[in-house]
Amino acid sequence: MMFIRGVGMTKFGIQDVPSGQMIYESALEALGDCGISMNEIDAIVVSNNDIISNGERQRHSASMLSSLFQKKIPIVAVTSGCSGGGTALWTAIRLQKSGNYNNILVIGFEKMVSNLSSKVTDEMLMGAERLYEQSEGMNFPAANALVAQQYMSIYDATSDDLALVAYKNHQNGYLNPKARFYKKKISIDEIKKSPVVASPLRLFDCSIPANGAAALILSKEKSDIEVIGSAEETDYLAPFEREDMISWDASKKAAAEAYKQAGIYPDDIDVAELHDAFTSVELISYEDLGFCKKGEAKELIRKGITNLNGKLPVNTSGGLKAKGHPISATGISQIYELVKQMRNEAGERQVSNIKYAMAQNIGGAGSNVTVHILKKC
Amino acid sequence: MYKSNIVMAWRKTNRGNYIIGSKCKECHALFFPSRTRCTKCESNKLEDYIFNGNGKIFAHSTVFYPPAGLEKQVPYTVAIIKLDEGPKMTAQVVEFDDLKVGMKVQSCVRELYSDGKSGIIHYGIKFRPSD
Ligand SMILES: [Zn+2]
Repeated sequence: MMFIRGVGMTKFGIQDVPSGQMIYESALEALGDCGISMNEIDAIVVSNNDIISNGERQRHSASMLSSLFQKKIPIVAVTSGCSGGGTALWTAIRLQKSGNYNNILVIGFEKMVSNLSSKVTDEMLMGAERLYEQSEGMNFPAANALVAQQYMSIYDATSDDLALVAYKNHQNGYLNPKARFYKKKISIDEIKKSPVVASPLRLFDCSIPANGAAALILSKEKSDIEVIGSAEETDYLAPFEREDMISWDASKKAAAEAYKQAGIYPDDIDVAELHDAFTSVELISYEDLGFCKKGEAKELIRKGITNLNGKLPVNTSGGLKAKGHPISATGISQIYELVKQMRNEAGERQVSNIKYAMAQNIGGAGSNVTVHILKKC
Repeated sequence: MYKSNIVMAWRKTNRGNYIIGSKCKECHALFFPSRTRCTKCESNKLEDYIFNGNGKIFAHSTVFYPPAGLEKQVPYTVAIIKLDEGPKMTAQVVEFDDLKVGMKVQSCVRELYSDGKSGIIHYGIKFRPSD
């Protein structure tokens, strides 16, 4: 039995503050959320990517946290690209199962936006395969564009379907005070007319970098949020190494394992935070996670089923698209949103009657995936 | 293992001109990129294998915002090519009018990128329509 007692996160945005300050802010919110002090934390799992261009160059994030909190306890750093947050939670759950720790603080943080955006892009594309892809002119959007091209041509999904995903997530992000695009109106026309980055993906099909940190407290003590499923799966690094790209094995396997642990089915999920690094990824994920049959994701978005007022609201936070994507913080921020939704604390974007919630966090173009299922007690 | 075969040595120094992978001597599995151990049968007896350079378009995308170094090539088209012998690889596609999935292509040597205006020009494999 494993519970989430408290959650916290900074606003995701372009604030130029040191990582330490963002970590502190998110951790204090999480501690305050469950009314415990730092003295009750027995271990920390932290995730960060050491972005070279942010001027901090702090590689030893575990020890950095020891200094920051003045705590000499086990602190483990987990780095896993864009799935760092989910992987940190997955790791913390296994640590907790060892029986030695009562309260584990799980933190993801990233400082990305304080330098030239070309530097950031250069950093981000390192999520692509190094030797055999990057010198061919591949970057991260291009790798995902190849996947999107194949998926869309086989299943007749269109650029308009992708635009609907972006529009939905921007509408949700508009309502989220912690989102980078909070109160920023984006029209469907702006989305459809945005420049092509790598066909078929336009600028508004891509998630937006941000600075931010998110934290949660995982505990043996009963709370109102129980973790009932936790899975991680890994696949080959480059899309070209895989049999096909229209579904992601790591996503399918992690979902199957998480459902099995939870003893529930895709139909039971009431709200989900999915890894919309690109709008096409959200569509493919609907299928990989079992929310619809293969090739039918376009129907879900066309019929508004994943809208805020639909049967299965997806990315009520705005997702990576509109909330922002501070790499290692993203996976924890997904849990933050789900917990807020399950506690009816999501303000204007509140969804009703939630029992089961899912978070899916992806590193690379389907290279590794974590799936977590939460239950409202 | 050092190979004294002169032709092979020459080809290796001109690596960019060939799609070199490896072939398992035990189970004949083909790999790209090269491997030193067969992932099908666990044998470590592998030899270089030069692919014939023919394949089909598996997926494609035209890039307008490139990684550093490729600015002057924009827009360019990248694709996953399924080689006739089986393995897939990522490469640019050039000299086409209308690109379609399943289209037959063959490899050719073209400039990949250069180190600035007066720097070294790096050549490598790209693909073009073969019909
Ligand atoms: Zn073999």
